[in-house]
Amino acid sequence: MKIKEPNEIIQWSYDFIQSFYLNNSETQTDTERMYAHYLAPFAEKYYSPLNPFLIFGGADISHLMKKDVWLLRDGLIPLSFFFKDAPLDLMDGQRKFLVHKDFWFLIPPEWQKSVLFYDMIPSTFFGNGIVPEKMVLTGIANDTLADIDEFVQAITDLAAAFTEKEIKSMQIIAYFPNKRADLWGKWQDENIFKYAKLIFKNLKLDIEFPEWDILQSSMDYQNTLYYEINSGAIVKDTSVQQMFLSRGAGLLKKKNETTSFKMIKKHQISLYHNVEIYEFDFKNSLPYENPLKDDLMPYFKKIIEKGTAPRVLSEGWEKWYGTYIKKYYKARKII
Amino acid sequence: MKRLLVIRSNKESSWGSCKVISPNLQECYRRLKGSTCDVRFFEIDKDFLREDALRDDIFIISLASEIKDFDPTELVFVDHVPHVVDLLNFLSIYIPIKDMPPFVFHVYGDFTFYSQSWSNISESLKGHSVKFIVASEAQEKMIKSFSNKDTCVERFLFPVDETEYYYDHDERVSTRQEAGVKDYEVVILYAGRISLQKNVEKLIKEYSEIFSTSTFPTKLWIVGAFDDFGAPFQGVLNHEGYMFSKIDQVINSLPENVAASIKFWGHQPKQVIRELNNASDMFMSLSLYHDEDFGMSPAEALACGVPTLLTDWGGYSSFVSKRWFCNLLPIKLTPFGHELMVSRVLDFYNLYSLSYINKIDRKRWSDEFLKEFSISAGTEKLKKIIEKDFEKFQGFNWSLEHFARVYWSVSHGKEINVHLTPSDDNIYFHVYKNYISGKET
Repeated sequence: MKIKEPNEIIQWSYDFIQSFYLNNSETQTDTERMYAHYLAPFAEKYYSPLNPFLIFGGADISHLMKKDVWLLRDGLIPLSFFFKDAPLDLMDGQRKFLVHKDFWFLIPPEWQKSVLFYDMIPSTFFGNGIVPEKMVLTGIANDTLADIDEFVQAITDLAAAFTEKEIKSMQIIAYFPNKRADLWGKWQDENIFKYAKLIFKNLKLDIEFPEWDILQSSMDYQNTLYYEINSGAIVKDTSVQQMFLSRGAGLLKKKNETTSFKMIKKHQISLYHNVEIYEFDFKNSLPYENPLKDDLMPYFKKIIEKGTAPRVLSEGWEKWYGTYIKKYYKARKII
Repeated sequence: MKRLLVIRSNKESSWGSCKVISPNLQECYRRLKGSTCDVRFFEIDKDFLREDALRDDIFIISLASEIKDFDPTELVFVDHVPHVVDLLNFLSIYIPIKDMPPFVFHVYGDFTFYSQSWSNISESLKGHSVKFIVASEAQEKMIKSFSNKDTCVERFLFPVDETEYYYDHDERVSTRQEAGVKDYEVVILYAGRISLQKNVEKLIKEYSEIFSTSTFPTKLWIVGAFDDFGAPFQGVLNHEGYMFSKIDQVINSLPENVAASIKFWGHQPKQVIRELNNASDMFMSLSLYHDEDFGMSPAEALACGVPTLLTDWGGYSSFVSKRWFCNLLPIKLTPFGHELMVSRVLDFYNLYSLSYINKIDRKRWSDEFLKEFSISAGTEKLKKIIEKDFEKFQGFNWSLEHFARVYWSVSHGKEINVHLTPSDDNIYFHVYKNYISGKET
């Protein structure tokens, strides 16, 4: 029998490995840092054993070779780039890439065996008569990353989930950080009050607008609805959602769930929420379409190239491809 | 007649313990008001210096005119934010510090975090009448170690609201029933944040030992939110989700029956915390948190008469008394980190098992503790401190400036700060050796 030592040493330096790994990743390029800045706090890093990772700054293939599982937090455009450009060496039969289930249509046939899908599932869903005490409304609101139409749709969907009386009874907190809209697309200044007007019009006038550090400092978001207005063009799995769900917030009940997903694993990543992992039935779904082989591609190319002045700062992302891909899937009503 | 102008924040602190400490402290000041003492409160914006410069200026001008109008015999600062040094720096634009009344500073655990600010204002405070009121013997030793002279420091342990925390046997019975705990089962409680320096994973591992050796069925209840604060002074910055994964890994490595006996309650309101304290049989905390100047959660447990085992660290050692059941687990700083005498965890549990603790004991311990730590008792203690004469502050010594520079040289998680890594031969040792009392219990 092993005799237990009466004394033991505690040294937190061992926990430095995790923080070092996430802070000093060799893949953190200038582009990635720039994106993280423009998308802060949504694109901040968070930890889970599924290796959550953002490839929007350009994925370093040698880094991706190091682990067998990656949860790709990115949205439509970075994922489109990734599956268009990533070398097939990454598919060694063992490595799995987890992609948000909203983007099942982006996976080319050669990648389908290496990709599983995920979704974040809180312990509480609101709507259909279940009313939270508090609502945190946040998201990425600017002309380059989120269309005003998408914003309108999201806010009217939210308003429709509750009665006027229910909305009146909630404490509503809104947080919409705004950066100059020069990440992808336009350089113009933007009057962000148009978003505030939409919130007031669809919800109510009594809304609080605290700073991020105030929101971040509270550890208790139980009985709180977290509602993120995010088209998912760049980041889908945001660290802000991660923080709120970890502290007890719930989401709005989803409607029209696709049935082609089969849950194969559930992994708890906080006291209050899980990551669900799914397989997708590609055989009985719409066949994959390569957006670059579309008949309209040359036409789009012309329009977009004409409307896009050359930039120096962020040339990688300000290519016409991002705009094209978004318009392509929108035109087909897939997103 | 004394005239106290108490300066407080207009919003509650974001720190869980300060949300309780500050209102209780303010209540003590409110009760001081009487024939010998006039007390007036002045509210300052909690977000002072963070949002609107013009609004900040209006607050400071209003404070300056309040000082002129009320003519206080002393200025009392009861909150940790906005920080007193920032307030004084701005206030001194309108009233020079030498013309201000004496200061009473309630010092919180964040003294080390604000070491640079304290060091910067040291010269301006020299010769002024000052009282630094600290919340424990450990904090007193630490502040004195940074001071040129052992003066100006008073000790006032933060009070617990006796209307919120007390022993209630009926509540114990009903809470245990609701939680499905049998009479003969032993419940060990930890309440507080689940962050790196609180060493909850170590507690879980020690609990596992208890579970496998105990003749009684045992449960561990963990109440509080997961917090990825890490050990930033040391360069260890955790990301959201890290602590949960770390603890989850520990739980998954335990035998199934041990894991099933551990319950996480998450963040809970005060009333539920009292119910859980009443329902528990013992409270344990192995915290080595760097700003553990007091320990509100153990104080709340002791107010409910719970037998308590705490690390000999920071404010925890101030809770030791023969009038209630509180033992310490010895700590030593070694070249490799903190050394904990973990065998004491099982010893404490066995001591509990051998003692027949009944509701009369629990009630007596609770009453005895509250005789010393209630708001009523606190008001009397505070009165004595306020009546004491002021001493002239002689300034902080060189070591505070040195510490502040090292503390703020952290690299945001890119490298370890070796000077502040727990060890027995660096600045961490020189400052935090004051947190170890060496008391035998």
